[in-house]
Amino acid sequence: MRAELQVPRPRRTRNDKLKEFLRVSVSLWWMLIGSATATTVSPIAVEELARRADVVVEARAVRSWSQWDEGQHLIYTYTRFAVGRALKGAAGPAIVVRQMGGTAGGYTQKVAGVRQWTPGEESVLFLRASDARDGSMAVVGLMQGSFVVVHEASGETTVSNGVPEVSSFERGAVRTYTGSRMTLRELERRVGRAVQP
Amino acid sequence: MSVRRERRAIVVISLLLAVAFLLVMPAFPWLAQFTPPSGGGAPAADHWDFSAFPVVWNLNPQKGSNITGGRAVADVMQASFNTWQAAPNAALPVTRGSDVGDTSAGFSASGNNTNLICFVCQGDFTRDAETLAVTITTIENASGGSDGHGGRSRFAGQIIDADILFNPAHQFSTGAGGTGQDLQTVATHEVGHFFGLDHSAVVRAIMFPFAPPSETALSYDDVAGISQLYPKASADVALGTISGTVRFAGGGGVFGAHVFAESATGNQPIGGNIRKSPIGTMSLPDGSYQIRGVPPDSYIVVAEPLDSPVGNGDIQGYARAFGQGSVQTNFTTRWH
Repeated sequence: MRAELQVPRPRRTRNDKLKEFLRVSVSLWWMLIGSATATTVSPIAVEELARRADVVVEARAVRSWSQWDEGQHLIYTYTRFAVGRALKGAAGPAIVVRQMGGTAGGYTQKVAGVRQWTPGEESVLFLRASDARDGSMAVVGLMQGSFVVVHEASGETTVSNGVPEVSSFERGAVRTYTGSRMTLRELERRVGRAVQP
Repeated sequence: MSVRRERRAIVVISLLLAVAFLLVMPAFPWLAQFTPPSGGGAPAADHWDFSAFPVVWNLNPQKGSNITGGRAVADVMQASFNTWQAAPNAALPVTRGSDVGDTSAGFSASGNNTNLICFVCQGDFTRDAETLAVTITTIENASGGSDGHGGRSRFAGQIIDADILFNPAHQFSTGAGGTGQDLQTVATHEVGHFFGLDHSAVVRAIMFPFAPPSETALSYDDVAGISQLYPKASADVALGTISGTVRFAGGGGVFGAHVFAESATGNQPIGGNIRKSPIGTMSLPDGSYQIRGVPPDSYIVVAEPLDSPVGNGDIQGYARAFGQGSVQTNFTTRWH
């Protein structure tokens, strides 16, 4: 059976009811959440990301390339960023970030939850030296320390690391995590407060 | 929902309702990870070819003091694989191989590969205890390459290696007397990645990126995904397909809309220990979608933007596989 349905804009009341249903359903679920299995992560607050990072920078991705490691077992993707501003630590005009996964030599390696950058993409990055000891950096918290910058049509600039606002249930108590989406100004303020001596 | 400027577009959903029970169709379940062939062409859903070489998983039984509880980690891993292998309509001939002492993950084209399960492996991801585990899958970009098992790869998207690494900096519990995150909950999710499943935006799915403290039973959404990737020759349960197109009012297709079918009844058409949940998919670049693995029931079909809690970043490979920067989220939720 084929049913072609052209649907007029739903009545406001019906739309509201569905949205309320979805909102309540999701909220109830969040109340039970303990940790995130992405590749599996638990949320890290912005302040903690800032404390753990050697450098925090606002930067723009320039180009990416992937290659096998020295042992020819793991593929890593390297992305060169042009640094616009350092919020913590000293950073030169360019910085290279290493991530797990990528495509090289006819093979692709994937790690679910690891996001790659596209040239031109702006990010706020919380970084520390990578294990490669080749001058490249790694994102703190796998990908939690990578906030994508979005210039909204309203003129506001927002950032998000893709980890949603969740209320986690840990050790018998509900703990609210406030990270993820916020304005760039708010992120800058929170980082600034966290790294004050 | 996120704050964003919504295009007040009217989403037109055309539905082709489920009629194809027992029909196995070429799969584009959004739950799969996709690999675009190196020579061009349509992206292929990543999956193992169980006829190419025996697929076994090898445990490194070493563990640190971060893992406590009454059960052995080997039993937890076996139970996690068993959960998927018991899924209706799916054939997953994977077995446990001999234990190994490896502490390095990855793939070697020259051979001697293991699908490693490791609790003591180190890497950048172990520097933060909040990263509980990672699964690294190695996939062929084209047919004809070394499969690392003495043969040649058969298709783009063929999984030839998968390693699951648990973070030794995180506290896990294997059961009675243990403290920390339930290991089997995390392991069951990671084994889904082992088989090639990506994240699901269906909240009750095991493959939803954020899990409750303890949840080890598959949902209808998980069953739909795994049974489409690895269909059993003779189905246990009759499943069908709901298909259609998500369009803007102007006629253009919506790419990457999250479309899911939610049962409108209290029926339990799939028995056993499978949790009832919506069954989801993602629309293709032309806006078309197919929700496969749908049991007989009455459904409400919802199309929503993938803006929160699961977003483009959680399934970034999907947009890339279709040559897109991201999925489209500039529309409002609609349902039928």
